Amino acid sequence: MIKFEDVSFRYEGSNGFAVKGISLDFGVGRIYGVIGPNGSGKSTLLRMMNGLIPHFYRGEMAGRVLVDGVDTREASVAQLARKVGLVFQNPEHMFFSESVEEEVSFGPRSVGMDEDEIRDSVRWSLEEVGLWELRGRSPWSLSGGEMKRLSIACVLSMRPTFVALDEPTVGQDAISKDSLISLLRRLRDEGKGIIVVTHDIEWLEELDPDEVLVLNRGSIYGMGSPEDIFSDIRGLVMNQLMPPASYLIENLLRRCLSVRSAGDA
Amino acid sequence: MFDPLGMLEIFRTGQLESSYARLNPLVKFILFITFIIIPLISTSFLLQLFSLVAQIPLILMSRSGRRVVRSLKASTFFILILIVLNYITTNNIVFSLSMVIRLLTMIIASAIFMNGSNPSEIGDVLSKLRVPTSITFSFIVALRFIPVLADDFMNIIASQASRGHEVERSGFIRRAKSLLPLLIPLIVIAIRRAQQLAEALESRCFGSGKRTSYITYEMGLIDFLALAYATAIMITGSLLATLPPEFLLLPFR
Amino acid sequence: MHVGTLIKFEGVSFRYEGSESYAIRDVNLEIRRGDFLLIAGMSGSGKSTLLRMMNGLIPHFYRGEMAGRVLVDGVDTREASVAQLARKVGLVFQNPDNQIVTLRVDREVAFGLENLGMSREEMVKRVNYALSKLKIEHLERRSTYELSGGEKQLVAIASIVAMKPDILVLDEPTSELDPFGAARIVRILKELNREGITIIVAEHRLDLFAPSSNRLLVVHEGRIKFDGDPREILYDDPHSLGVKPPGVVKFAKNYGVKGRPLTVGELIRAAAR
Repeated sequence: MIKFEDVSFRYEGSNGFAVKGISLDFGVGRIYGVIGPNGSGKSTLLRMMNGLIPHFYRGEMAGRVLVDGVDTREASVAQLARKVGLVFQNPEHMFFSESVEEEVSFGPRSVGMDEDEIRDSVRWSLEEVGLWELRGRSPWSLSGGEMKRLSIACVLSMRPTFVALDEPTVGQDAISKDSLISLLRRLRDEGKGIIVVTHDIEWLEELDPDEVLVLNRGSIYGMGSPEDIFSDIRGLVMNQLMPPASYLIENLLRRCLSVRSAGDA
Repeated sequence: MFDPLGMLEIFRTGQLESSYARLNPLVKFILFITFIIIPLISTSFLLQLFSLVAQIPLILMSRSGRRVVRSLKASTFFILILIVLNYITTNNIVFSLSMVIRLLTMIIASAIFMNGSNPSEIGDVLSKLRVPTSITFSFIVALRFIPVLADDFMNIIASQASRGHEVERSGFIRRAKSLLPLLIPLIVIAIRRAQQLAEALESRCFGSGKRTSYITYEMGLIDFLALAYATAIMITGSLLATLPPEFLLLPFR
Repeated sequence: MHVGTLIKFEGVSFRYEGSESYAIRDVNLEIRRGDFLLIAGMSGSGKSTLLRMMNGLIPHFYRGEMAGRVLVDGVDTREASVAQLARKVGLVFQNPDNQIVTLRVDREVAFGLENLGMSREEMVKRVNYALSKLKIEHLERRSTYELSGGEKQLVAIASIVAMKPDILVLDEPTSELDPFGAARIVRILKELNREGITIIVAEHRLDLFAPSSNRLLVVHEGRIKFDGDPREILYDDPHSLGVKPPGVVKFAKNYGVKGRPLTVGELIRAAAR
């Protein structure tokens, strides 16, 4: 479980708080979607889950974040990486090895897993994302979708309980986005906690998360099932978010039809 | 005291609004060059002192006080070394002090120029001075991409940290090895950016013929006054330089 | 060649140097003046290659083996330089950070014009024109590194629009933008198209662009699999080509709404009947 207890954070040199008074729980076996306009604190939230904040990004933090009972201020990022795997937007920010297999083994090696564990882990994570066949290839020879899956494998190989992804669909084509949905669902069904930050609301609708969280200006606007959140058209628009087309259409149609029937009556 | 990053401060250009900043960049450059050349004319203590003091109005005009102080603080180490070495080799305290003041003058001149000019202006001046386009352009592009690559580097460090990577503190070889996961992605990204940039430049007809300039600069009254000041400094400095070095020591005899 | 044809691909194939497979094969295409052409297809399908053949980057900047020819306003791209072709075909790339070379927005927009050796008076007019077309006059004196992703994209487009090319080609111009930023770009492109500029966009986000385009090209494994009315392909079987239909299409099909609407507005009107 990842627990946020009344957490606020202000980046050094910044005037406003990136997140304010956040109290939240994230459990395993569930997919959470986090949406919000630019500057709402989505990325900050992710960085607080694996200790990048406060260890790497300096600033003023209030409250605490507990990962499986461990305070993120007291554990190192390397230790937290075994619990929370953070997948960034640009896979090219991490590749430096000669082969896919070597790349995926970097994480486990850095956190001190032993050789047997590493071997098993690498195999498992590459099979999970469907890249085992390509394990001898150079990371840069992969397609965009394959690179994205490799970046997820690099984090999975540390066997974290939670996987958090920052805008995973940016620049991906339809096939890749579909395979991402099935991968995340599979991981959830295997008992992992999945947290996805995205502005691709159509894709999120298809992913059908267990819970959707709306952030705006550092605070939680609302949290609930996809149906609850997506049908609150006014709420979404107020937070500068576009509702999924199907919800928008249903809403508009319902209103048009009710106008018609009112006109008929 | 020993602050290498602080010394780099000298190269950071400013955005400050001041009457100096509003001068024609070529004039700013001429003023800058004046205060680099003048102290080099001779080793006369009087000349050095004069050059230092003559910049005070410029410091005020460009509101560079804080920056000058910072640059000087950062250079304290080198200043002390300079004094000591000079004294050891010449056994002449006045001469040593002259050399230090000369260095200070140049540091101050740089601080003023950098604080009151933006990089684009500096690029324009270089073009005007017939520096080849490839060099001036490289200069501007480098400045343009430094923040971009710095951001990339931050993201790389965050990505690798999230995979449990820590930079080793001890052992030269271990340390170097632990930097590879940070440097290799950076190099790859930089090369990719360079390639895309080259494509984009081609597509905007770069290098296909003679370039014209969108930005023009004018010469106002204040620019001519500044040039007059520079000329006066040059003349006075040259005169002082012809006086024998012992001249200043007369009051001490 | 038709009077209105601006770009013509005649039996074009291209293989990048060092690559075994062909990036595009046997492409025959005529792009007419006034078209708003949307090019869709998976990553690696050949979309980007197609775009780069339009302004001569292929074959002049990228080496490889080319068959067939590409004519831009009657001129063979193998015989003209990129600089010459770029006056007619303006190419905007995917990542604005790798296009912006100067430190201030107005200088950036003027950059291409400086390369063309334009007079200062003309440049000032063009910069104002481009800034107003993209509605970013307020950014004129801003430093380029202070801009947000969306603003950078607009500046990148403005700097090409200032060169007044007949054809504006964009490679995934909205990939890093949020839906609102993306919608803004679509509106601007539509306006430019209405004023006579031919627009060619390679994009994944069909829901945003399909309604504004008059023509959709689907590229798959280097070949053109479909070239025609966007409504036709999006309603028939886009999945086989790796293309995902917009939400409106899904809804219309589910509820049997006629008329092949592509926008919510069209859907409402069709449903009302």
